[in-house]
Order: sequence, then C-alpha cells, then structure tokens
Amino acid sequence: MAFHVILITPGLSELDQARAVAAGPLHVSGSASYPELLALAGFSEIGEVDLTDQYRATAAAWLRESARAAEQLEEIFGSEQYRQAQQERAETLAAIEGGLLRRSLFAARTS
Amino acid sequence: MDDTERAMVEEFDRRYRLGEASARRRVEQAVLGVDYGATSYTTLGQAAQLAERLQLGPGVSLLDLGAGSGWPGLHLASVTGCRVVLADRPKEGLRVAQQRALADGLADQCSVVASSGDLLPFRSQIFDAITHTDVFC
Repeated sequence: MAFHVILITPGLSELDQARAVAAGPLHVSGSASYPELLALAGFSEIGEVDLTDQYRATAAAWLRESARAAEQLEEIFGSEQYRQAQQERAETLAAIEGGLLRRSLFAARTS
Repeated sequence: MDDTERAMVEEFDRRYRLGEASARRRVEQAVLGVDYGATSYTTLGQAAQLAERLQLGPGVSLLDLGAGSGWPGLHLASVTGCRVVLADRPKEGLRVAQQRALADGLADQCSVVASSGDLLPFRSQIFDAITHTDVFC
C-alpha cells in the first residue's frame, strides 16, 4: 500500500490540536500513531517519506490560484462561499507553516 | 450513517458537483497539474511516485480508497495500464469519476463502488495494491 496521509504534529497543546483539526481536511481525525495503526492492521516494512514542504507549497498554490481566479469562482460558488473557502485555505496554510499539520507518504506491505 | 457522516458526505457531494465547473478545473490544473475535479494535495509528480512505489502496470489490480472524482486512481490506471476499483461514499464524486473513465477510454479498467472504507464489499487479498490520498489521521 501507499497512502498520502495528513497528520497532526504529535505533542501539541490541546488548543493547537484543536486548531490543527479545524485547519485540516474534512475527515475524521484520530490521535493514534499512523505507523502503529498500519502495524495493527497487519502491514510490515512500513516506510515514511515526509512531504510537508510539498504540502505547504500545494496549499499555498491552492490559495494563490484561487485568488487569481476569484471573479470566476465567485460566479460559481457565490461571494460568501468563495470567501469562506479562501479563509479555510489560508488557515490550512498557516497551520502547516506553524508546524501543526504535516503530510507524509506511507508505504508498507502485507505481512 | 449518522447525521455527522451524512453531512460530510453531502458536503463532499456539493464540492464534487462544483468541481466540474471549468474555472475550478483551471485552478486545479494550475495547482496539481491535472483536472479531475479533485480537492487534493497530491500533485502529478507525487502520483508518479505512487505508481512507482506500488509497482503498478498491466495485470495489477489497484484499490483506491476514498477515490473522490477519480484522482489519482484513474490517472494511475491510464498511465500504467493497471485495473482500478474506486471506492468512496460521496456518489457525486464517483459519478464524475465514471464519466471521466468513459471519456478517457478506461471503462474496461475501472469499476466504482459506493462504500465506506470500513465496510468494503470485497474478499480479502484480492487487490495487489491499495492507495488512499490525503487521509487525515
């Protein structure tokens, strides 16, 4: 298997943990170690490649390119939803830059 | 499915519907290098890494969990020749993915399954490779 995973940085304060969850994607979040979860699911040879720098660059690109297309996107989404989406993108970028969110490629094999 | 899960699926359905708009596709093209209607952080280069890691090719069977509108599962099938099953809960994403599979000539290589990851309707060990992009853990 090979999964791209967005992770909350371990050891955050309760407040920062909540900020990370709010700034992350629209998914259920857990607090378990991902390699431990993979091992529990029967995977072995678990490897991790940190992609946080690329995550930051891609999050910045979503924000920048969406701003560049603001007029057309506002026509599609409406002004309020466009503004809210941009705010969420900015919060995600800030959380990555603040060290609250990371992104990794995990690869593993079944035992 | 409880109310929270239902609301999340509905929100993804809404995003996949809006993701079909041409302006939204142009933004995605500029950011990721593709135009599947995705809300992803997986770039074209990172999809190539997945193909290499998973040793995808003709005869290989890939399960893409949380496949959304088909990025990167359909792309991986297209560039490597593998077969892919796209599994996700939001049906709008799967509808968009099915249309893309037909348009890209991938109908024989691609199936879609509306299912959550914890209730997959497959026998064990029938896939050679599994991918899931932007799981939040």
